[in-house]
Amino acid sequence: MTGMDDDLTPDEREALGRLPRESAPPRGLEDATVAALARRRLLRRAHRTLPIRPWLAIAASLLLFLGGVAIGRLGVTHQSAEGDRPRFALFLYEGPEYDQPAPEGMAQRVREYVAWATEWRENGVVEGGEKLRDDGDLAIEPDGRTDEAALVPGASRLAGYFVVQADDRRAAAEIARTCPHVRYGGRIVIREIEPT
Amino acid sequence: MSDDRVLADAVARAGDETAFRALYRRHTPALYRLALRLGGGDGPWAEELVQRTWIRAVEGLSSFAWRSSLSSWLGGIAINCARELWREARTRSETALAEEIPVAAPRVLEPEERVDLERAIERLPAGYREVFVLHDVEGYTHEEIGGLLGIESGTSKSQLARARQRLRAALAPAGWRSDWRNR
Repeated sequence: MTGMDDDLTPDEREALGRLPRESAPPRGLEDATVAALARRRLLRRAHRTLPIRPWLAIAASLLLFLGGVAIGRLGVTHQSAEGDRPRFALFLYEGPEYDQPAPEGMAQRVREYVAWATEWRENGVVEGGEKLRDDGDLAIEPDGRTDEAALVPGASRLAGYFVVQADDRRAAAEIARTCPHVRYGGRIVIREIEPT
Repeated sequence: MSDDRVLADAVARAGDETAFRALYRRHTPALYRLALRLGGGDGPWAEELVQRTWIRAVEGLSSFAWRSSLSSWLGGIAINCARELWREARTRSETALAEEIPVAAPRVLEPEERVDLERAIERLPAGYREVFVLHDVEGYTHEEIGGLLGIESGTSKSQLARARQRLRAALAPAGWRSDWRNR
């Protein structure tokens, strides 16, 4: 490739030569591209074996116990698509440490989450999920009062959830750790859904 | 780079994710900058272009003959994908591209309107910007641009002349070095 015209002045050539040749791509575009290639079966995903941290195992055990009691009391029922595979809810929390995107970056952030969920859905892992609205919390207190200011400033807040199928809690944790939410400083709490 | 070929072979033969990520990290910064320039600074459009470029590249890796560098090949794919995206946008909106809109005579901007070179390039009409970026920034010849864009080389020359005219007007009187910011 050649061919600058003589019409350019030396200053103009110099200015062109100083234009940056590279820009850092947005974080998440790499994962989204890999997921898109995997969906087209152009890439094979590398198997990732991720260690489960002791504190997470302890927390998950406790939550499993408490969660079983709570769900049983509410009588919520779900039918697993495969019937006998354990199902887990991944609760996504955002605290002060969560890296909130700028408004113009929100679409890209959502695409990353969608790419992640789509990839796992195609593998028969993710059943579904929702992002919760960032405003309009309403709490019903034990005495029947309603509280529209339920969000405590600075506290971790439930921002969304996914329902996944996994062989066991450790496998569910491995799946959760690949979620973009973790990379951005979010916390994911995993609770097994009580089979009913 | 010599190991581009090793990595590309691993991707083409075995769909090796690790090899792909290495290629991606090596070549995407330049691809993304090119995409931003072609797209007039539109970040989401540039991301879509980069992703489409990589999909098209991986699909065609096994037939790539290595007569040029991988980066040049990727650049050519990106340009073709950019044209696809523009066509799709035009079909969706049923509006003409800026390159088909009659261009007003350039004027010298007021001081508060002055911009740096990068921004001035972003603000060029799509047809002018495309030829300017390919010729004056990326270094393609008019013949190469004609082949890439499916236009006559004479059209490329006239588009380039108009693009330069617009840039000079936008950046006058201080010239292309004014208000330079390395964004």
